[in-house]
Amino acid sequence: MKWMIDVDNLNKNFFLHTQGEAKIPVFRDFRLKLKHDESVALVGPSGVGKSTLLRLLYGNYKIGSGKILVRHNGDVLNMAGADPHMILHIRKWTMGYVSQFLRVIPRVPAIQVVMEPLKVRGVSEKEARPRAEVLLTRLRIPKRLWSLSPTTFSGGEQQRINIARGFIATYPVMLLDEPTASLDPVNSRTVVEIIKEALSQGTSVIGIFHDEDIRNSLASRRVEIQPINNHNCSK
Amino acid sequence: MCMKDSDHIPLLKVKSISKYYGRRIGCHGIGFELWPGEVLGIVGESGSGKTTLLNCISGQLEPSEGAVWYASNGGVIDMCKAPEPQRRLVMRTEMGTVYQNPRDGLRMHVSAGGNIGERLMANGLRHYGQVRRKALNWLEKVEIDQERIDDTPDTFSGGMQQRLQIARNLVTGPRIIFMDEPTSGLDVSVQARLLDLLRGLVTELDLSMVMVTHDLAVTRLLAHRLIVMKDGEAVESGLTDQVLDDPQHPYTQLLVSSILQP
Repeated sequence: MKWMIDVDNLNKNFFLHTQGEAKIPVFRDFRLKLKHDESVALVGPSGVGKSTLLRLLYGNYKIGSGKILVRHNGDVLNMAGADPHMILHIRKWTMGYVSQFLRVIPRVPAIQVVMEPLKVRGVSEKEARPRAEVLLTRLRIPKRLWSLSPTTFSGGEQQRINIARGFIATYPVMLLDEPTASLDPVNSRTVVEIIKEALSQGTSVIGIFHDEDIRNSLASRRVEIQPINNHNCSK
Repeated sequence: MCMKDSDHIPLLKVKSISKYYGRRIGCHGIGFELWPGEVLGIVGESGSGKTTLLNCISGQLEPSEGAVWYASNGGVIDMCKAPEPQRRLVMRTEMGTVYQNPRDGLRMHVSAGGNIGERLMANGLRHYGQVRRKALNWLEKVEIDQERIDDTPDTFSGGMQQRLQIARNLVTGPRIIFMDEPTSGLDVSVQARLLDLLRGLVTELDLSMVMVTHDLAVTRLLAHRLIVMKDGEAVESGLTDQVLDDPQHPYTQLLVSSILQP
């Protein structure tokens, strides 16, 4: 089976220059292969680097050494040392990411926030809007909130906006960082459905799911992340 | 897969630009590429060489060393070596500059409509009715009441003046805009409105932008990529979220950790 992401010999340390030159190692010679159609759950104690791995995959954190190969548009590209222009292109077409927090842009209405990933692909507002409306309705965001900026929304509402934004476009690979974290059971179920639909459409997933049941229902494989020995920091 | 991106060549290719003021260094050995539709933020404290770099790239200052290749509609030209008339033409038709101080970018005693129409007329549009229609259209786009078309900018608020500068620059459909601290003199609420407007215009017009600012929050919202400057050198550069979330250089770490979070 062909792979979508190949992490090879990944090393990552954080160097805190302003805090006494502290060095925090997170990954040493880490490997992971994500196959096409596969859904991998990252497991391990809090602070072991699960979210860090997703951020490294997405190019949000800088790779120390090693490779992160991504299949993009029929090519294989290395995220390590990739030009920012290329990383943006990968994010636009190949890799989606739902973080735990929505970074809100002042004044931009929720529905526009949700439509953005389609609009940057060149989809017209006329085509993008109905798709955003379907997702917002499914995720039980009241219609009166659609035209408001999510700045003032509750944590759960913001998270659902985040989910809608993450799933409005389809990506070959999705990175999910606790997508159901601040949601009630009903909305959690909806999010699980949405993720399952993406999986059935051929999206491969790497995710962090703290809820055991949700993890079992979504993941086809578990990957345990081991703490590094001299790892003595809370990062 | 449909590719909307104009992906083949960068719009701007800056190659180790240096500017010396006598023995003092303005900026040193800076290079980057800018693609259509991309926003580049240049950050750093006052005196770090941000504005010098911007002025070298935008053709307003001659660099001591290096080259600026610009992929103009008529082909790639070296902005530092191109004959003056060609350089002027490209600057007038394909580039725009929004200054920190609106007084540097506007004619304060000419009406708002006149300010917007000036570049159109310089580029050959002579029909008064058309000029006025375009001016009205752009006032609306930058959220200025159309009834203010005959008022002079010295009767406008700071935020309106900045928006008028943007309209004046964008009316001729440039491909790249240079901005020097466009939001620094404004109230936060007015700032947010301007940033939102700029975001929309960048996407709608597939505009490229180089923006100097000392405000990292502004770059987070607007810029795809960042260059961090210190003492005239680029100490770090990369994707905006990567530079802000995982800064590598001690100076960038200091900058990022010094942001106040409201």
